[in-house]
Amino acid sequence: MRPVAICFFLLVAFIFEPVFGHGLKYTVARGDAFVVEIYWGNNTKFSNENYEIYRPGEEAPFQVGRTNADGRVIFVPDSSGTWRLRAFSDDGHGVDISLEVGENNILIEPGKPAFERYSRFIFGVAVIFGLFGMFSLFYRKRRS
Amino acid sequence: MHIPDGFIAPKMYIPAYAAAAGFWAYGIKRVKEKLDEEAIPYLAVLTALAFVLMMVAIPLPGGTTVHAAGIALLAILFGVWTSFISISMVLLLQSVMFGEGGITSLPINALAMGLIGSAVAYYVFRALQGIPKKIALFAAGWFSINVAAFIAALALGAQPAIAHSTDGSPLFFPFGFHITLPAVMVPHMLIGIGEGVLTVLVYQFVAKQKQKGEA
Repeated sequence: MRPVAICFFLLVAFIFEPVFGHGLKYTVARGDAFVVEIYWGNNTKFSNENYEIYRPGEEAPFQVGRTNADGRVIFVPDSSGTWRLRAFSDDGHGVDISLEVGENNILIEPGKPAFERYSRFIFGVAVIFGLFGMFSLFYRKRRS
Repeated sequence: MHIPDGFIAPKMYIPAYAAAAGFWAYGIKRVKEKLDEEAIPYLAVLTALAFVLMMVAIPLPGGTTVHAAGIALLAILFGVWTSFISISMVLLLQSVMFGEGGITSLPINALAMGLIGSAVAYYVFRALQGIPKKIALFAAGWFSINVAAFIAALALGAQPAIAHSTDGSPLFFPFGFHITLPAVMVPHMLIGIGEGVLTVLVYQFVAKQKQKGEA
């Protein structure tokens, strides 16, 4: 009877491995990840807000979650192409970013706004005055 | 209050573009007919002020930021249609050149802030003509930004209902009215106080400058 019991135990232990427990397996390794840092307009961290990441051309999210306390989204793309990251707060603030990922997980420089924050003020005000100046000239020409 | 790209479904922004295009065409016609040449420098300065106010993010507890807009000043001093065109121009500039707001959400932002915000400011100010002017100006400023924010919150909160996948998950902005209304309105009720005070102060300053110019 004893050999039968041992065989039964070995069968259960090695063939029906999952019977051993419900625990998950994991590995820990250092690797190359993309780190996207998101900030509010006043440069405070966009922390603990929702985000979604989409593989190129896919509608179902590849990864969802919340930004960490430092306002970071960290992910490892598994294919090349245009990846999409959407992050949003409850009150409608957010970003919708495209990230060009090349072969071997190389990030092709993401698009940035053409102007830095403080030069935007000056440039924007200049454009507005310029437009109204043109409108004024047009208005005078029509009246004369 | 600027809704960014990717948050509004085509089901909403395409009809909004159609509606806004009609209002923009009518508004430009009205501006051409009614605008006095001498008012153009004042309009340029207040439009520039609206641009700067919208770019200044004021942090609030909880991480979010809000901004004033200067809508009521434009509406009270120049009328609803001139204000609508000026605010639309500012929003277009911000979305195209600086990535603030979005191209797809432009008509919603323009209708909420530019048209409805201006109309609310103008008619609240007119309705309160019997009471001290400062209170009427303050109320116009407060209501203009809060009604505009309410429209933006409705537009955002409607997204999960109008655009979702077959399993029900939202394709655009994911939060419904029960989240967007308090999340958007509570900060704007606070910033509305600043908008109201700003409306009073700048209106008085412009009125004094006009008087000096006429004297």
